[in-house]
Amino acid sequence: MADTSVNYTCPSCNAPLSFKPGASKVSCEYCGAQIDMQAMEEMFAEKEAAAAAAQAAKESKWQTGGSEAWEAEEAAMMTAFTCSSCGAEIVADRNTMATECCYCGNPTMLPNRFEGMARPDLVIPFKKTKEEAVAALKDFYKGKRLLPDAFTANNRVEDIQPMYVPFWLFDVAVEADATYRASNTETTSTADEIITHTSYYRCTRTGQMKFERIPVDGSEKMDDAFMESIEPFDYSELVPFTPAYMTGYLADKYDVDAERAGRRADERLETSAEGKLRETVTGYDHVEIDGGTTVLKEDNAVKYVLAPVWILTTKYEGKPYTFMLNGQTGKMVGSLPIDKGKLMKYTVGTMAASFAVIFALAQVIFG
Amino acid sequence: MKKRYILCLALAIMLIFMSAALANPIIFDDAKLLTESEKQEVQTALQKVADNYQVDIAVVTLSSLPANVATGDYANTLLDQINSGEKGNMVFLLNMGERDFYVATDNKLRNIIYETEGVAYMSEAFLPKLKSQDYADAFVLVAQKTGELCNFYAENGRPWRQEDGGAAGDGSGLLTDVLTALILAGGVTFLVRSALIASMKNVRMASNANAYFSDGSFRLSAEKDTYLYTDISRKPKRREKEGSGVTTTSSDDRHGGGGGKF
Repeated sequence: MADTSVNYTCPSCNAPLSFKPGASKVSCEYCGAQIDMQAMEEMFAEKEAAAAAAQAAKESKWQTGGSEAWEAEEAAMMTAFTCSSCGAEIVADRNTMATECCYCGNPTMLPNRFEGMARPDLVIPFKKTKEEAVAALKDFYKGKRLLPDAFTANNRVEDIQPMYVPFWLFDVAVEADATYRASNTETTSTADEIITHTSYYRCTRTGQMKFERIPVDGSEKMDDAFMESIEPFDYSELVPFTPAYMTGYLADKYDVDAERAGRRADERLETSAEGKLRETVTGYDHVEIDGGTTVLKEDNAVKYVLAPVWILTTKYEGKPYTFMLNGQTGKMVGSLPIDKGKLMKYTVGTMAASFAVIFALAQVIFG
Repeated sequence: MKKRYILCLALAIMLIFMSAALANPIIFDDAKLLTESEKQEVQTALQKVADNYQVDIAVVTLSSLPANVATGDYANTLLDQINSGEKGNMVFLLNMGERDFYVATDNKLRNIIYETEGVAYMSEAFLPKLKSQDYADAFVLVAQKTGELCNFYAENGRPWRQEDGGAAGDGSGLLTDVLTALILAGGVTFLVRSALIASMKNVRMASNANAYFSDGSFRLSAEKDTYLYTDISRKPKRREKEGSGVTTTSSDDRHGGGGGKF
């Protein structure tokens, strides 16, 4: 049976290859060979094509055979691949482009997954290592006064995975229109009354502006809030995509297309465009938007990018807690459990202490 | 002429004040507003203030005063005749001819009943009774309110001021401090608690794309400001002491207090 996946193996000693964070070349851990990205891409292009063809053929056979053990929906979600290193069957969901063999641990590419999809234009290579990700998680715990003691005492990272997450980057030049209701208030006083004059104005503004590389993740299974929380990425380190960067990492292809993702970019840039126009409504005491903001895209471009994310999972009292680390900048995000006992202790303590201080101050100041 | 008349009147009742000097407090009801039992009731209330706070109060009612004699001046003259209260003395004078009332305080009591603000605090209570001709009740309230202001001073070491709000002598000074401190402490606790909870999570959707705005790309191509209309609202000024009825004062360097119409 032809291999349906491709292991990036060393052309010198045939050992598995992995891209190390921060490196410009792929190096072999066993014989020390250094392989240039371009050379590696060319070297394995043919293998990838063959593997993709083999997988397509296998899928065709498998679909006609139809296993009764799987529901149609389940079968559609998962597919089996053959590891080119040990021959084992690897089951992965249909968006997985790169993974590692669960039997031999070899980093494995699933090239047929690239078919019919846009090839990523750019990639931000991983800079943070696994050790740095674990250390960042420990740092994240520091100073969290409500963290249960048992969470840190018994804490071990259940799972840690480096993943290239598909992102769409939107460049756009827009013309925005907004209408504001503004007012100025002047107060005068006579012997008997206070007179307030409030003058109202309608202010319309039109402006042109550009936004560069607004990121929106293209993965349905990645929580948007997490993905927007690990921003920003340093775009100066974007490099042209080559599959070699994915060796040793998980990678998903997008399942949210650019058009759908663009709606989220629209929401964010509308808010910013309105804010820019509002800054020009000056000379008033009070300004508020009157109606919505119209944003017309004049020129735009979309880039498909893979961005590095470490996904760390821990468990506490049977509940999983997921944290994500920006694999480039090291920014850690997540939600920690709250110890209700500690929360009560801090609430009561703060109440008692602040009451004592305020009451004592009141007695000293006001007698 | 005015001075001479005041002196004559003062001398006329001074004898009464002197005779009563050993039996404080003093009630001189020239206008015949009180029955004997009512006098006793008022006497008891005045005595309570004298016992508890060492402040002597004289209640004087007059049928009339000459038009050119100010009620406040006359009350001050009477006040000069008494000096029995260890911590202060007061004359509460009703001039039924002009329907004036006046609270005269000496300099000791002036530190406790702060100028017209203190008198206004008292008059808000007794003025309705004067207007409804419940004079005995009004005089009892004069005594009670004096006691409350003395109590506030004893608890706080300063006279009751308008900004203190609420009742002065029912221990509400302390209660107000406690309640205020509780409310502020509650606010501090809420902020601290919210900050602690918020520190446990840093996952949130981005609200805008400001970080991706291209610097220098903004160009304002059109702007138009149109005047629509002007709204004018008028609010009557809150008059100080409004409702207290305290409109005059004859205070000088030896006397405090104030008075008004009823």
